[in-house]
Amino acid sequence: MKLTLFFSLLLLTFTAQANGQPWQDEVATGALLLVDEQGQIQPATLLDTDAHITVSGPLAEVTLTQRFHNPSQQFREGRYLFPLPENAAVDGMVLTIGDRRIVGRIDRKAEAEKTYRQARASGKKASLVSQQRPNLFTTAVANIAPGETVQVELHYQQTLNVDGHRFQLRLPLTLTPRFTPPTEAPHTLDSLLRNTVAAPGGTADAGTASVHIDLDAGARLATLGSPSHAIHYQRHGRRYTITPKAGAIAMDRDLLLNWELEDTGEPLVTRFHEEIDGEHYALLMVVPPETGQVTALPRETLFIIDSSGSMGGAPMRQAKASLHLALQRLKPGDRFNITDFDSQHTLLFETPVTVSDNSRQQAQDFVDGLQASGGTHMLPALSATLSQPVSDGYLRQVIFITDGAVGNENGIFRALQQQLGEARLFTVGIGSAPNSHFMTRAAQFGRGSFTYINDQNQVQQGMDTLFRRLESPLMRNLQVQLPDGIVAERWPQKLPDLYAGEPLLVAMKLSAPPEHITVSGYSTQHWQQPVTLPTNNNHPGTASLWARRKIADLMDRITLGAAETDIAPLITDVALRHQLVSRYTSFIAVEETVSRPAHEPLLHDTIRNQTPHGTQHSAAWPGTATPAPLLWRLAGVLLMVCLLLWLRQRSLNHGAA
Amino acid sequence: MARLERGVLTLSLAGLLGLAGWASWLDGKAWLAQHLIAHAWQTTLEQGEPQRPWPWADTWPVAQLTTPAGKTLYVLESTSGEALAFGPGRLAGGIGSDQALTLAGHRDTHFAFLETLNPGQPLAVQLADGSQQHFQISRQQVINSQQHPLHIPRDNQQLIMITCYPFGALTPGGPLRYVVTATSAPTSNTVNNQAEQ
Repeated sequence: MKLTLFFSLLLLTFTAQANGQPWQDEVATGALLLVDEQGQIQPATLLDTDAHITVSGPLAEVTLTQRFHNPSQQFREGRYLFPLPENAAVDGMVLTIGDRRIVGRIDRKAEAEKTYRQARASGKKASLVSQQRPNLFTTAVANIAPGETVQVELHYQQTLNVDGHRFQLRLPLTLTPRFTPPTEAPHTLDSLLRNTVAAPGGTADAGTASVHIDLDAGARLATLGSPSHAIHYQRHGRRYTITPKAGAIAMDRDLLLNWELEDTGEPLVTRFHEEIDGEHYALLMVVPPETGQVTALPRETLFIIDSSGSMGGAPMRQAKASLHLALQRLKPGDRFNITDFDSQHTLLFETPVTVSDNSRQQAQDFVDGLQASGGTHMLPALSATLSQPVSDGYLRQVIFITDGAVGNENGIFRALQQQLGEARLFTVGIGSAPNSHFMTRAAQFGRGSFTYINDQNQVQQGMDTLFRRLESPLMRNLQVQLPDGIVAERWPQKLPDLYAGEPLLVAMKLSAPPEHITVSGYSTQHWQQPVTLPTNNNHPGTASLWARRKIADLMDRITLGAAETDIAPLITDVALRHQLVSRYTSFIAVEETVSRPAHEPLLHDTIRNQTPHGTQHSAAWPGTATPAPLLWRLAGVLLMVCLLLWLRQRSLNHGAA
Repeated sequence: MARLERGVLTLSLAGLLGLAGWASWLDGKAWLAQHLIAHAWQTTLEQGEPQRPWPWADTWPVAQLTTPAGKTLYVLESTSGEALAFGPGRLAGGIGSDQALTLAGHRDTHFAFLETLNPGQPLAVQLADGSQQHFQISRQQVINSQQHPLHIPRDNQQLIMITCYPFGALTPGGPLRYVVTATSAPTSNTVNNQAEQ
């Protein structure tokens, strides 16, 4: 009986090892609170959010009201780190205390911080909104009186995610701390995130969000729904008002709203115009028609698969399944190759080969033989893959399957920019917590898309979506033609090639309002679309969006290696002029009257966001024990068993002799 | 019967060798890796750049920790299971950070010495830029990781060391953690004196 127990124990430990899960994953991780010297935990500043969203066509205008409440007996400063959509342009802030409204002004970041610190020290109420990362912002509010509630109202605009006729609105409500990646340089953001997200089971200070959405999609809707929340909607003609069924929702996951327009067969064209001080701004969004045809161009698909130690276990199985599925989808006559990397990289074939039963079989065997171990040396593998000779007449698509646990992200973006050429990069994120920031950005630089697979059941669906995109024909040579004599500062400056159904989004500053603009391109045939700009119609916010596009483009140049000292003044200029929060500019609001007497102390709080729904393991707590003591003990017991059995056999043998 | 027993004996022997081999592998690599890392650390100090201790490593030394007994440990970047097998790992803090330098290590290998520490004992840390910081142990706590949210103080004059608790436990994965906090000490020669004794 005892033996059976030991062997099952043995079996258990071996299975755990075979799964390749690092031990820390099995630790029920929580978090650590280092209480203050008095050993007391004070009630900290609390926060609630109101979001009022107006969607018109592909644009959303959002007013986000953050209410800071101080339940304690002391004056408090609250700091809140929160996410916004990556392309959000924060262009307004109002500080509200009771019925007093103080409109924030934009200033250089350092100046704004100085103003804020001075106000805080002198006991005045003040609020400061600044950007930490393109999609991460902080609000700080100083001198909230005991029992008082102070409101900070933020205004931003965003362009929505569009895929053909499908639209998605995302309202981020909490943060996902990354699993500590082995970064080249310590990531200051990671420790920042860890401090601002409550541990699973811990208490958060960010409470609930009430959300109200006014949706005018610009056309009739075929579908409307939310994959994240149960929603309730009312329809008034073409307009819908939407609220979550539950009323105020927990801020533990993002709110998603999806809708699809009725397909009228016409290409979607959206255009906005705004005139400010004699300058004309225009935003065009054109969705080239989906032809329904499969690409005429033969394709060359280069797979890169990450088999480093961090992919061990379930991720590796998902990665292999994805790759097998992809191999099946290859068409005879197309070309392909596979690069496998961990600390070293291996190419399946020396150069890409034609798809045949033979080469497919070789590839499948290669994939079956992959094992997760070693480090993540991505850059050499990427270079080796991209430097394979280009096959003329083939459309090159690179599919990168990884958990993205890399350090030198910027180095990889640079390599992509330099070596990708005409090829496109599609990233497939594997595992429960892939580094999606890295993979989204890599796909952006590679003009491809990011597919996320976190479950064996999602492999099929994820790969289907990816392949639908890969197989739709490419729109090349996209051009925006303006009438003679009109000069435009256009972002992006170089129009990318698009897959059919992908929206073309162009923001322009024009010297004069044009009557007509022509958008043209070429896929299986020439395609052209005249666009009329509604010049007598002012759409407020168009200029902001243009400025935001320009800033985003300039920021990318820094990522790709341009000197920050050259780019920073350009960004600061645009941001100040268009009242936008950026890496170099912040919103500041200060109340004139003093509310905190000089002798009262001020306590500082960091508002903790709610743990993302479904998170069980926090990256914060490392597992700090090995099974070695258990193994030694078990080995000791087995040694005793062996000795006993041996002695018994000896005495039996002696007895027999 | 005798055949069955012989079978059990063989299986037990195989199991014994397997377990002992595995356990020695865990303990052995913990010990050996520190020696390999020592070399990488010297190079890091000389060249001022992160240096992988072996070419396929996913981590590299970021600090050197001197215990009150004068033993040196090399702290690795990352607290992943893979890194902790080779040495204590850095969780937060360090060069350019305003947070406490927070380290984690296995209770049965590198951080086993935490059990014997007493308040007031000196510790020293050298960072990759060559700077030395001296600390004195100020507090030892046992914390239930499932009940308390994480807060690493914004105070880079502190050193926090975390390991699993209790020290003698057989199985990994328990919720308790042993947390040793040390605060910056102004004088610098205590550790050296201690080390020479």
